Amino acid sequence: MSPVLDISGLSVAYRAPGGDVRAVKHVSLTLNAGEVVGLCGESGSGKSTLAYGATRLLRPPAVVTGGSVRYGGRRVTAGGDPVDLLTMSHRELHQMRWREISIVFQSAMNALNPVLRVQDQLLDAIRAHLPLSRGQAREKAATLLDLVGIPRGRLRSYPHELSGGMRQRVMIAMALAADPEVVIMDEPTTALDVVVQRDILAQIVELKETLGFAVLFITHDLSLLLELADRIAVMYAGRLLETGSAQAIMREPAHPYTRGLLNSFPSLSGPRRELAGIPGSPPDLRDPGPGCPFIPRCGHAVAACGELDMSLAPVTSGLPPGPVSHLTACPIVATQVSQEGVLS
Amino acid sequence: MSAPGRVWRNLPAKAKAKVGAVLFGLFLLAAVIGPQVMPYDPSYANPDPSLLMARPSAQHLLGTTQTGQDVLSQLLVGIRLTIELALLVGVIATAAAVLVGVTSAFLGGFWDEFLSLVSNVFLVIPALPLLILLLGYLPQRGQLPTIIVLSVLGWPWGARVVRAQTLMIRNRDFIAAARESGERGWRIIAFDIIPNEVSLIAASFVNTVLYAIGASVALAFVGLTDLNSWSLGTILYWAQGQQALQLGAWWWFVPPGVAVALIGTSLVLLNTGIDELGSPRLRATRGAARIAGRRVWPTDPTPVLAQLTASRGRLGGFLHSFSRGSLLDETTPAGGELR
Amino acid sequence: MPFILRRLAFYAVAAWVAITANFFIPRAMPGNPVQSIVAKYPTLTPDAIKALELMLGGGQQGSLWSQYVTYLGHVFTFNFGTDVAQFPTPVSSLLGQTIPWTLVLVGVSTVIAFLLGTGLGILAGWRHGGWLDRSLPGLMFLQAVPYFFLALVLVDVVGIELHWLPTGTGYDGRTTTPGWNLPFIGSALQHAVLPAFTIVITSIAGWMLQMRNVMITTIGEDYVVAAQAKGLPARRVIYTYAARNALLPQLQGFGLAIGFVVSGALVMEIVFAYPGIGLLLLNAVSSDDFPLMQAIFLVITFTVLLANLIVDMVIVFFDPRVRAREVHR
Repeated sequence: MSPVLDISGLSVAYRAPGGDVRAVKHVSLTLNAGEVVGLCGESGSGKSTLAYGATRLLRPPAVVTGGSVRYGGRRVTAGGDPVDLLTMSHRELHQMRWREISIVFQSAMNALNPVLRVQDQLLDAIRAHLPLSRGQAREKAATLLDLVGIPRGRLRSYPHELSGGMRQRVMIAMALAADPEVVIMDEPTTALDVVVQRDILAQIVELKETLGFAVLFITHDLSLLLELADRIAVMYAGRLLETGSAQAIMREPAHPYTRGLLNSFPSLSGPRRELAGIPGSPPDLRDPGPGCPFIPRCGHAVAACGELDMSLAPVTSGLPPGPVSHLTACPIVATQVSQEGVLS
Repeated sequence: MSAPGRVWRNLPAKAKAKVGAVLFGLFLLAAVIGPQVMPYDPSYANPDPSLLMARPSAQHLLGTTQTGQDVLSQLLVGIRLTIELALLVGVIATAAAVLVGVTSAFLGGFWDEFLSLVSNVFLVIPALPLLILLLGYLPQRGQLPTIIVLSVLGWPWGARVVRAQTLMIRNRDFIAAARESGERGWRIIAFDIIPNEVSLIAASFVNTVLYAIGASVALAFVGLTDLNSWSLGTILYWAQGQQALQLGAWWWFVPPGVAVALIGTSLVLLNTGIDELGSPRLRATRGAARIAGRRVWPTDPTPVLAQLTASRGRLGGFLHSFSRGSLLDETTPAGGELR
Repeated sequence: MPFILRRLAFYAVAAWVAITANFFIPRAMPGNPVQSIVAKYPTLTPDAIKALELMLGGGQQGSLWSQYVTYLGHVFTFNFGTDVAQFPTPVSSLLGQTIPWTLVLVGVSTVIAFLLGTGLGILAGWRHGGWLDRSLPGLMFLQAVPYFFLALVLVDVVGIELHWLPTGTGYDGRTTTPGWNLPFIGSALQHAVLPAFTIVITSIAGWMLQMRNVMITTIGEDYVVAAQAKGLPARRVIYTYAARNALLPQLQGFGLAIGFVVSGALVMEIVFAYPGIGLLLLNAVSSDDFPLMQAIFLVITFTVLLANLIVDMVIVFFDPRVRAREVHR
């Protein structure tokens, strides 16, 4: 079955007079129908740029400098070939927005129009894509709120009258308004407290099961993804470092950066161990230097690392190969893993 | 695209400020040396009938007034007087504004509320009528009362702006750190807060000078300042009163007006430059509209390089390959796939 | 509602400050204002002189406090006293003759300039870098030109050289009589064109520039990006998502600028000899007509305060957040 979203070799840069910033470099990512793919990385890693660049929502001075973004949703392709978002006309792209791919933004307070009521904003999204009458559209808006567990009375509220958790649920409801195939979630729970976070995540999973959309979940919190995602991709300084199933990433992380991330948060069970962060800071994207961008912070770096072309290769390990391939950009750790066996 | 428009749009912030500074500098120069080099005494009324309300000529580069006075000389003195007055008011009012604004934000509580109320009241009461009222009672109307009156009404705007900025800075961590380490209040103000507000204070100063020019010219035009001194507004007052308009003596009333407008424009340019230096977002969105030689609106979908170059055509592509932007054009992607 | 009440209280304080300033300024100035009036206008009756002393100070009319209270009482009953230059006409009738002229001219022109400027600003901000944007340097120069200077130029070019439009007064006094008749209204309109045009031209650049800048900032907000991501029609994004929100700071700016606009228009009335309150004020100043000066200042101030209050109400109408919580302006 072909993937519903196939990002291939995407590169995005920001033009600046002082030097172009290459925010995303040759990243390939696929999303299959109904699955959850987690995109993990720290601030500045390019994860949001990847998502917004793929959907062409970045403002100048951003440019997409290479690659393709193929969408294979049934409505659009009608059984034929996938369409490339990067070569489409503006009008076709415009029609595809929200109907096929929708986005849940990070800060609902900022992403909701402060002067419009919730109902009007939902109606905007609904009536832009679905041929419903006003009455039908209003009923649909109410149904959407039901889906996310918000009382219907809140339709007449303004965004500032809702709590943080409610606002985020409204955003989710709005994202589902036109029945999309793909929902991109950009750190939807980062600004919320942990309890609300759990509720919202549970809601997302439930909705995904019911409605069958695929999710690209962007976050800096790897621990979240280990529970939520089917597959995980780790980004750093605009490059993909490692990809694989959630279990594979958790049990045998095949890149020093991923290991560092895993060691950065405590687990509730298991023996107490020392928390380690990752010393140093991300490179300047205007001039990152040759080879692997992680070299300055990596404990395993050797001279050869400076000549890597950062292509991803399969990880050979003691585990039997699963249906999902586990790929990494680091040749050193991969061999180490195959020698050491599985991490506990 | 109009040439001035294109030049304007591509001017980075620094260039605009430079143009403004140069233009203002010229006027400053005129203010300083003008009265030294002026050809005639501006008050000297040449009785020669052929020189009354005469058009510009070799002897009188800007013509003469109804009473035979040389317009150019008056203009030079006018520039000096106007700029002098405006700068003085600017200094006094800005100093007062910074004092009130910073103190108000720093002290907080009752004093903050009270000072804010005072500033807001002064802001909402219309300035020019109040100025006219104040000056109207005075039997003697000279430079000094005008300066005092303008300064008294000129500080609230700056005070508001400075207060807002100080409030923001006050809550930042490094101020708390300074307080914790026992630094005295005034030291914190002088060495930590004010250095961070320099561009704001500079912009506020320029705005105050602008206001002072506008208000003093208006007051002079209406006849409320010293009618024996030759400020730019007074020249206009006499021109208006002597029917320069109706008699078509454009050389009398156009130069002072244009001078005021140019001084004002130079200050606004200066300020735009200062603003953009202090506000990166305005600056960043400026040059953003051209990518690979094509215009991209902020609200268009993100452009794709291959599409932009493809539609340029062969000659365009050839020419474009010489530009720095062509370095970004990628050829073969490398990298693995996530399947 | 609480917001409007707080604003009302603020304007009441400002009005009180204006009234009190009006009371104290003549008393604080050097010299005796009443004496200078009497010297200039020997035909005043003793009653009139007493009233003047109550208003301006300088006589033996009781303690300062009692004078103040009486003065306050006069103001609240709109008793502005008798004019001195045109004795014994009451000041209020002089005001009544001139206020409508200024109100109509300045009010209508300012609203037109604001609406036009804001509309153009929306377009300039949306098409940031387009041809509207490129006209900005010219507009900035226009804005630096003093109102009255532009008026002078226009009068010269359009009125005198080209004889297209009349150049003075509010209406043609020789051929029409004031009243609700068509010739008068037509003449009045004709005479209002140049002054109105001047006001619009000199203030439009400011509104446009301000709205454009606010639009540029607003377009960068997440909710506008979100609106585009939703695939909404461009018109909806521009007006309901971007402009609706950009309008709020723009309205606040309008409130703050009302005082300046009125001031500029007053001076401009001289150039056009327009029979409004500005001309009246300046004539009062040149003839030392203090009671009239005071009254005009109060009327202008109260009008500006009222206009500010109206703008506040408009803001409340447009911004639901203000309705809900307390706002410090």
